[in-house]
Amino acid sequence: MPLLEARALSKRYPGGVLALDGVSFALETGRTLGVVGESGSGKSTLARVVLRLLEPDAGQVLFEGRDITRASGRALAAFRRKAQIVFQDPFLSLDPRQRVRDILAEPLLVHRLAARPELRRRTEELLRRVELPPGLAGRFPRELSGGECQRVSIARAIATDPGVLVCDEAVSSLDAIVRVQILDLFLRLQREKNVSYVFISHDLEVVRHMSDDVLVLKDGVVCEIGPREAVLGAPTHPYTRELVAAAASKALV
Amino acid sequence: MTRNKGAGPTLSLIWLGLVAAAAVAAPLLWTESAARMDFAAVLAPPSAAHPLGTDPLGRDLLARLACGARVSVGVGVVAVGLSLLIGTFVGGAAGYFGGWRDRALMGLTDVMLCFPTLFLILAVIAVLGPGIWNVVLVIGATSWMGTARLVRAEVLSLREREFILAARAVGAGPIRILRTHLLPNALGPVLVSAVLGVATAVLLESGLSFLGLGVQPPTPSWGNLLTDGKATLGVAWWLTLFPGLVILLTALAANCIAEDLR
Amino acid sequence: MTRPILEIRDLKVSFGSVEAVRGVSFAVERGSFTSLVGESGSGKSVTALGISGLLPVSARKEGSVLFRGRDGSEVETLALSGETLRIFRGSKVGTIFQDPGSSLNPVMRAGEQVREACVAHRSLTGAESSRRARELLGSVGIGETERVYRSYPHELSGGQRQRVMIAMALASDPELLVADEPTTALDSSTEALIVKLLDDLRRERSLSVLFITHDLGLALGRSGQVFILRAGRVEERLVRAEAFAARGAYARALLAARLAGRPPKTFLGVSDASS
Repeated sequence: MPLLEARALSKRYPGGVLALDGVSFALETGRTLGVVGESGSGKSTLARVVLRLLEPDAGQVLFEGRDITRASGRALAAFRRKAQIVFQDPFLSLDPRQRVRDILAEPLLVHRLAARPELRRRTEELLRRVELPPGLAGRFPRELSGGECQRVSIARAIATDPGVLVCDEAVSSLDAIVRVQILDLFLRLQREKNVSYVFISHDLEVVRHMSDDVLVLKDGVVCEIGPREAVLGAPTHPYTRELVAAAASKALV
Repeated sequence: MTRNKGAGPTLSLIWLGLVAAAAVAAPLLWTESAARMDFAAVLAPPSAAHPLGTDPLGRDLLARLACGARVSVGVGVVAVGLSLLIGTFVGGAAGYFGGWRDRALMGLTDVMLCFPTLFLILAVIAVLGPGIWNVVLVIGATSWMGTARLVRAEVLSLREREFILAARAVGAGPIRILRTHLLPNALGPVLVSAVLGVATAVLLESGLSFLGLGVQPPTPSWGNLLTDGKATLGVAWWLTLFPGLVILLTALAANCIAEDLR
Repeated sequence: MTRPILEIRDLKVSFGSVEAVRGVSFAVERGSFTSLVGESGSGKSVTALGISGLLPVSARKEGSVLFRGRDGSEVETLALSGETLRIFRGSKVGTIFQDPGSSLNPVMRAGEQVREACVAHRSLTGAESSRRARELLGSVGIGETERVYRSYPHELSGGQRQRVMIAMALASDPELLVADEPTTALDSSTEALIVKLLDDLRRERSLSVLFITHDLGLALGRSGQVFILRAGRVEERLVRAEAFAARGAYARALLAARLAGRPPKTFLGVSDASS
């Protein structure tokens, strides 16, 4: 049974733009589904709809076999605990007025996973897991680098031990060297806890590097979906071929 | 505060500091002096013994003004506090929830804004009767609309920011999001509005007390000191000038600080 | 061997107390595709502005940016100002920027803007300039020349807007084209096409191209030389003839940070080369 499933998700924004048109995929435990698409492809909408941060107009989202498309209250809270997101901009996704320790404490408090006396120990543990020194707990986001902020976002996302992490262009705003370090972190966390990823990026190489399966999105429609080697190695859809060719033209001499 | 201050903000701060000190300390130290009637020095112009002169009953004006500070400023601060509370709640809820709640709350705000404040206040006082607490209540209950609009605008713009979306993704509920994330970030402009509000409240209280509808004698407030002064305007200019000056300076100082905060 | 078309020696630029560029030296060979690669904060954009003569007057500049024209003339561009600077910009050096959306006038049709660029440095009749503008649009790979000529910027795609910008930059036949992150805001398929266009134009028109980007992989694909900028200084020079071999730790880390060709789902283990 797939851990997370999307069935024919559609979403139209007021104003008529059809951001998603019948998008479906299935994500197994411990695997990564890479979603590659350019700006306007609907990938960010997909990230939000799949996590119920945005309501779909049609279609279903299933988690652990249960339809959570219209879930609310306790069922929704339970889903939130097990499915988390890391956003693109490292600074904007953190409350500028909160210190790191309060940012990390929030998921623990909201889901009642730790009592106040334990918070310090738990937040330090989270910082260690994302390879940050515990001393950072007292800092504000503006005092951290882009890479450090993103690690804090990741720490916040894994605080509840989720089964699914949606990474919405999570490395796109990072410098090249920091980017590969964060990718290593993502891989390490996946090995440690068998987390599943929906890894969204406009960068084909990033998707190729991180994914077991690949979904190619264009204008809200799934062009191609399948195992990585099949989709990127022997693409059938012309758009996929275009993307693969563009990436190849950048390759090393 | 900005780095390139003119003399304005600094002087304003000094003045407001003096007023605050008077509000706190004067009633403790000088009640006796404020009430003591020196029949030897009735309607005395400013002198060494009485720096700001005396009133028809021989009471020292400086002492009375200082004690009046507590009332006038106190009323201003509490009234503004009340209006902030109401305004933040209304604006925050309207901005965050949107939909019919937003329309209803903003409709209420617009209706309240239609009433000319002063007349509304006078009407309510006419019903409730004069007195300090009624003044506080009525000023607070009629001055929250500006704050509500400000808070709503801030919340609307903040609501779409990624860290708010992240809080929702973490599973935080609306109350937590409003309290922990939205309002602390939204309160900046509200602070400016609050400082200005104190100035307005002081002016309003002075006005009401001047009309006899606010603080009643013998409790000194700047407004009713002004009323007393009016009766003896021809012979005792200091009884009108100094209360008026004090009110003016306080309002100016608050405006100056508010501009600087902006 | 001809002398470089552009020679920058110890360029320093500061804004108030902030030193954006702290001593940059490099040279662009005539007719070459040369890249300047740097991360955020490396000073690459300020360097580009310095070369194009587009720094604000409040900027403090030191050092030398020497431009050698085809006719043998040598110009110290940092010393230019006023009318001579204006002539230099556009007729000797053309510049294209990252976001064509904000570099193009939204209320003027694309064709008009190209025409304006054509008459900025030479006098042409209306008919001549409009013909030249259409020619230029064609030469930058715009298929539907007529439609694009008549369109407003918002009616065009990102790639088309960038091509219009390139057409405008080429209008006065510059010898050097400075491209400051021209593809960063574009889709990856369009990106490849734009870079190829720049390279093709280089060969067809004997242009020299200075390509500025944060993407080392993109730079390596086309360049003869890549200068790596870090914290306002040139950290290293990678040369195609040497298979872009790197000596310094930072450059090696940047090279190692490319994903292409690495086995998927494996650790890359690039150490942080920052001090």
